[in-house]
Amino acid sequence: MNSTASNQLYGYAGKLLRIDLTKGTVSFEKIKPEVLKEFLGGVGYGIKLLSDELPVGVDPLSPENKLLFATGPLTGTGAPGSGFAEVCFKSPLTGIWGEAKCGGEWGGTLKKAGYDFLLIEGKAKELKYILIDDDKVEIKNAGKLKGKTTSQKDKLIKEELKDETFEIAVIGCAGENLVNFANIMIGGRAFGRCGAGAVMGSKNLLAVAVKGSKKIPVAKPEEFSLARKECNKKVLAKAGKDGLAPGGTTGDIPSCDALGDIPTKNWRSNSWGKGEELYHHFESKNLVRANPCYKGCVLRCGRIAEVKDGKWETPEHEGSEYESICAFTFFLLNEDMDAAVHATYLCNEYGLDTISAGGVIAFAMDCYEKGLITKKEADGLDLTWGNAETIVELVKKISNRVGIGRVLGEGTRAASQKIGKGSEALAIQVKGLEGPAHDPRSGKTLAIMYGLSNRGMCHIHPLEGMAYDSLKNDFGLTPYGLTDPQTVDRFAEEGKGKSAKMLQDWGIIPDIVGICKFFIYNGLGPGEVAWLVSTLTGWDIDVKKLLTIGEHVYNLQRMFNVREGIKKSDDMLPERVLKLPEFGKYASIEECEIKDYAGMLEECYVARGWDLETGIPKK
Amino acid sequence: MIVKVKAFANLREVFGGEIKVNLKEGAILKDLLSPVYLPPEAVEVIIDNESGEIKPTILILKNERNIRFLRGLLTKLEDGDEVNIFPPLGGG
Repeated sequence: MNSTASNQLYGYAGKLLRIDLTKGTVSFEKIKPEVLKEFLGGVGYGIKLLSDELPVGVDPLSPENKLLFATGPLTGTGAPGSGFAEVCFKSPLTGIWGEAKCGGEWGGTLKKAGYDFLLIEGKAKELKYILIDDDKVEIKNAGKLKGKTTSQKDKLIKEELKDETFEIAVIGCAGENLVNFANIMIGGRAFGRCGAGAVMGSKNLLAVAVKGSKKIPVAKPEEFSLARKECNKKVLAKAGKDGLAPGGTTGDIPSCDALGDIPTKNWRSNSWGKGEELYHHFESKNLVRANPCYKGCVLRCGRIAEVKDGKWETPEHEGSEYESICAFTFFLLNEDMDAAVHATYLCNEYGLDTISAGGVIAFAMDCYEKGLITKKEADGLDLTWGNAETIVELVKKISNRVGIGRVLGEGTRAASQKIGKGSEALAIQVKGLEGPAHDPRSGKTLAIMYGLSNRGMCHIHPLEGMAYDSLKNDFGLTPYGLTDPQTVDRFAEEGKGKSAKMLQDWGIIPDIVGICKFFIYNGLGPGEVAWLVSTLTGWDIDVKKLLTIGEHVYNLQRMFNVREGIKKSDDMLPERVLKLPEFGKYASIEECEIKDYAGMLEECYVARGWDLETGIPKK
Repeated sequence: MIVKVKAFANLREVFGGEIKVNLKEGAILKDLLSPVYLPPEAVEVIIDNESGEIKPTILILKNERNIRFLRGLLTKLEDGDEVNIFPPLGGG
């Protein structure tokens, strides 16, 4: 079956749903097959559309910014990792390319409703939510949802619609208050980073409820079914029958601590030595059970956590994964795991990015220690390291933008610029995005990938660097030219810039084809993904084509950032991240210091074909 | 001499966590990774039966340094060394 000859699209609904909240209009647009063939979907289609439609220099919180919810061809098809959705926008936190992904059924449901992409434009006069039920699309009044938590909003909408089966993306009070790192929640999972929730809040949009019943057409049904089965088997063989269950990524804490991979005390160190005891508490007292985000997932990274009783009593909820827990423990020297679980629960309910929240609180505590923020300026709070009560209180203040929460809610970069007094050196961020819970002093490829990730210091794309160096994961790329990680010392610096290029081009592919990234970490290699996409779409997509698309999309995102003002100087890491840790096991391991970041950067520029002086892609 | 050996992730189930091993002076890693000092089930997970080499999926650090970039199985051990053993880790 040749989809090009017949113009029949397989693997796609074939439509963009465009909603203009200023005019109150809804339009259904057919997508040109050649555009989908070039960009496939996800952030690939996202960069194409937003580059074309967003004015240069647009204010991210103005009606002129746009919010694009995107799926990929594999989303919702039962392929490994197909519980996926992406959102693309200009970020209010960084002022550049913003994207965030979220696991679960929402993306697949949008496709089954008949839309591969949902584009939100303009700004409603009053608070609204969007209802999508196959061909029925309505902009509904949402006044009574104002100020409610994300779980309350979800419940109220389902009650109003008298239908529990809707999948609903909501913002919390952080998004309503335009906190720069507000997120969008779907159940207990998040489109976490870059302030997607603030963009949604700036449009007076509180939720998007989706239900869908249509089928996604498949070009070669028997072959695709075989590909799905074989690929899931391969993933299970690599990950084991339990996958990542029940502890999910939280279970990685002891290993990552031992590897020197967890930023500690606002990045003053990369290892605390408390990973085992902290995880032991979580496993025995807080972990309830595994909770896969979509039906059929064999990896099952999600989990339900709780605090049964005591000061930090917290009901059962999806949350407390690796990043969030590290942000509220290691970043802040907080040994109270119950408080950390409670803080991540509050971030869910208020719709706040846990990573940026932990990062900005770490910044505040560091400033406090150095006398750059006084107790009076902190509304009487004691910002001593590890103060659990203060941590929880700051999450509330930031989400509600009160007191010191106002300045902290702008993010560490803006907060440090306002506070001044040398606090800029304590703001651990790249391009305005706070660093996540992986430390490049455990493996140097991560350093370059942090510097060059297009949304800032994020872990979604750079984490392949950490896995390459420390976990010796080649992602199936050695046959395609990647240096075998078994031959590479994690502390070496030469060659890492070159390796980063291939890891970047491959690492972006799951976000383009519409699947969860954990699968490429666990046996789903380039050949497998090409097989799945080809048999689904009917197009000839081989590994070379996939890597070319990845390279192209990565470079286009870079071009977007260049036009929004990014320079080579924005690719640098904060000094502190390069230096030998101040304390901990790795303080005496000289090799872990990053000595020639400039050399690694140059190597990656050359590999990517970017101008050495400006960092601009040459083609 | 005493060497501390720790296993991580699902290797803990086989290994039992952290143990202190009393080795002869001059011992090397190959001596440590044997049923003399470690549970046989653990050795089976770590060492390939046929080649006698450490399985490529197993990561071993001696004092935070990957032993593959020291002297592999011939790496000398000293009093107070910490040996961390990691199974294949997925990451994420």
